[in-house]
Parts: sequence; structure tokens; C-alpha cells
Amino acid sequence: MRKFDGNMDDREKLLWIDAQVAGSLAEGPLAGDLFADDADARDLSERVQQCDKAVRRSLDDVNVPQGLSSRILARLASARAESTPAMVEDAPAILAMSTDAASTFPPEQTQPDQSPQTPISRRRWFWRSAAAALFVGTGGLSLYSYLNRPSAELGAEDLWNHFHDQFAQQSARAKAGRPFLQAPRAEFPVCDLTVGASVRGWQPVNTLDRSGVCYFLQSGNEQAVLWVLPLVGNPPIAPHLTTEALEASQNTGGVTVSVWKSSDLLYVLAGSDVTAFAAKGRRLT
Amino acid sequence: MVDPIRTHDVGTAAKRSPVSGMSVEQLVAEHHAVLYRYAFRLTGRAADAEDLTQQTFLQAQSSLHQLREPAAARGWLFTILRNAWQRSCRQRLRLPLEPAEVDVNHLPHEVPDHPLDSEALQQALDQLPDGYKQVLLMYYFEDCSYKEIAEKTGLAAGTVMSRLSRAKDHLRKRLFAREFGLPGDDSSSDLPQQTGPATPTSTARRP
Repeated sequence: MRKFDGNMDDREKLLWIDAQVAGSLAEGPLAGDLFADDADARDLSERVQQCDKAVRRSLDDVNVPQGLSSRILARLASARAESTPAMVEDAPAILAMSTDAASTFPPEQTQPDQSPQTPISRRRWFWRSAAAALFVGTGGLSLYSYLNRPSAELGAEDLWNHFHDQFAQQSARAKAGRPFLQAPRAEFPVCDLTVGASVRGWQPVNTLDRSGVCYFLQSGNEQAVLWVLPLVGNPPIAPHLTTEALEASQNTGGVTVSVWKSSDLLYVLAGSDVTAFAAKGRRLT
Repeated sequence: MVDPIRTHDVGTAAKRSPVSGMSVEQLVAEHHAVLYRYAFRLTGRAADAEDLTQQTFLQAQSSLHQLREPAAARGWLFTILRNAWQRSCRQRLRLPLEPAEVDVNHLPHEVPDHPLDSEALQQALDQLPDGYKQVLLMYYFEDCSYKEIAEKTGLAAGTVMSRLSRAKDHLRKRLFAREFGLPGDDSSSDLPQQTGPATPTSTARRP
């Protein structure tokens, strides 16, 4: 590619000038004295920039349809529900939450998802249908053998990843001001590793095919979530899981997840600083 | 109202990126309008633009963990949108590209203060081959330099410069030559036409 040159004809100069980001001539060969000394290029550049400014302004002159953000949010909620089969039971909650979210956009009207079928969406649904048919046709045998196969044990890494995602969800709920239940659950005791922390509340949870509780803890300005679940269940938990909290931690994206066990219970502590909640090396009672 | 806390813990809440801390609702609130405008200019049809915008956020929701910096959200969403649009373009037939000369006479000496005709602008965009339109809109919507466009698209820098200049020249000829009676307003494009969805009657104002 030829470098910019003051001896270029106007058409070649225009090629270079058109390539500069609007309002900035600091990039590339037009920088510095070369351009400053070229009156023709300077004139061309000013005219190009005027045109660019007008085109840019006109490109933004598009009316955004009423209710677009609400329809997007509804479709996102629908996709989340599809990707999580168990959530079918929670349809009212999904609707309530999506309505809450949609209501944060007062300038637009909340409308049901009635976007017209377009060539793009028709093509997508065609391929989805074809994929679904293929899945039904060939997936039955695979599903049968899968269901009859012993479940794989969940190791510490599986638990870290799972509860890392759960922590993000629980934090979002906590920030959303969801009410907590206050009465403690004797069958799911808070371990003594959390001495010094106060329990703000708890909620029942079903996760990993287990029913347990999720405590919201506070220590000073730090907050954490503690899950207490039955150790026995399917999928099974790896038997070699440690009983030491901080020896079984992983820090990902600023969130530390610590997993340990005590007799017949699985404990998972997640937060930005779990050391505020657990004394290192201290054993559970 | 249903108390979500008493329901199963199965992820009814929207996802939030563990790294950037952004939720998809935040992304929708902050970027849906600009993404729709970008999508409209790419597709030329309101229904396609809305579908493309929705697809973009669906993809963003499932890939939210990839978003590292909140400041990078818009560029990240633009990339998702462009890729989705490109996939939708692959079925469209295109004629071979032919070179067109850039003409400095299409440049007006003064540009009016009043807004350009948005429909005429869309018609001019619709006449551009997809590859030219993509480069042009990356320049205007994403403020990409030709080097950045080359990096993001994998095209050679010279190709990007050529496409950008020819596409801009095409717009100038369509928009300014008509207004000022400059040479070149022959109502036909020097750039290759493409077959596919008919869009010349699309209007920017139609929701």
C-alpha cells in the first residue's frame, strides 16, 4: 500500500483522508507537518469532515420502536426459562421478575413479545426445528444410556464453578432487596467458622438436586453467602472433600468460593473476602 | 406477588457477569437504542433490525462471562451484532465486486445545517454491497479507524481504505450531489448491486 505523499493527486489523497477517524488527523501518514504543509489535503479534509458529520448525524436519525427494551427483556427471560427446565415451576416468579425489570424503563410501554417473523427468525426457527427433530430421533438412546449410567461425582472444582455462578445470582437477589427469612433452621446449622459474622437471613434453596438453605452473612462491610446442603444425594459429592474451609478455596474474578464438609453436611462459603468469615485452619464442630 | 426466595434456586434471576459485574438488563437499558439504530442501518428494515437486536442480546446473555470491562460493553455488543448480521447475509447472492473511481467532485464545499434525508441515506446504504456497508458503518457507528476495521474484519488495510473511501464517495454522490447539483447524480451506483431482500422502499422512520 502506497504511503501518503504530498505529490499524490486529489483522488489518492481523498482515499487517505476518507480513512481517518472523523475529527482526528493524528493517525498514520497524515500526522504532523506533512499534512499541515499541504493546503489541498487540508481543504479536502475539512470538506470530508463536514460530510462525515452530516452523515453521522443522519445515521442516528432512526426512531427506536416503542417497547423495544421490554420485548428484549421478555425474550431474554424466556430464553433463560428454556435453558433451565426446573424453572418451569417458577413461571410466576419469572414473570414477576421480568415485569420488575421491564418496569425500570418508564419511557416505553411494556408489551408482550409480538415481534413479527422475519427472514432471519424464520431461518433460525427452521434450523432449530431441524435440530430438535434430530435430537428427538437420535437422543432417545443416548438419554436412556445416560440415565442408567452412574452419576459422576462432583469434585471441588465442579462445586467451585457451580457456586460461583450461584453467588452471582444470590448477590443480585440480595441487592434487589428480596426479603429474608429470619427463623433459623436447626437441621442446617451455621458452622463455627462463621463466628464473628452475623446472619442477616436465610432462604431455602434447591440446588444440585438437594434441598438446603442459603445464609446471608455480614461481617463489617463484607458480605458472604453460605450454603448448607445435605452431603448425601445424587449427584454424589467426592468423598475426599476437605473439612478445612480455607484449604479448599478458589478465587475467580474477585469472588472466593470455599467448599468443605462436616459429617453429613456440605458447606459452601462464597464472597469477595471469605477470610472475614472464617478463621484459617479452624475445624468445624 | 410471588416471593422468589421461596421458589427453587434455579437461576430465575438474570445473569450478571462475575468479572464486570454487569447484568444483561443493564446492557439492554444502556445500549438497546444504539444497537437498534446500527441494526436498522445494516438491514434497512425495522422488523429485521429488531430481530437482530434481540439476537444480539440473547447472545450477550449466554456469553456474559466474556465481558471483562463495563467500558467495553458497547464495542462487545457491536461485534456480536455485526457477526449475527454477517451470518444472516451469507445466503444472499452478490455480484462480483467491480472497482469504482472516487471522485473529489462529489465533495460539496459547504454542507447544510439541516439534517440529511434519512430515507435517501438508507436507500444509498442499501445500494452498497454488504462488505462495503459493514466497513462504512463500523467507521461511523463504532468510530473505528481503518486499521481497527482491518484488525476486526481480517481484511487488508488497503482493502479497508478502498472500500471505505468508495462507500463514502457513494453516499456523497447520492446525498450531496443531488442537493447541490454536483456531477455524478445519475441515480445509479458505480458500486456493484446485489440481489437479495428488496429494501429500496424501506424508511428510517417506520417503526
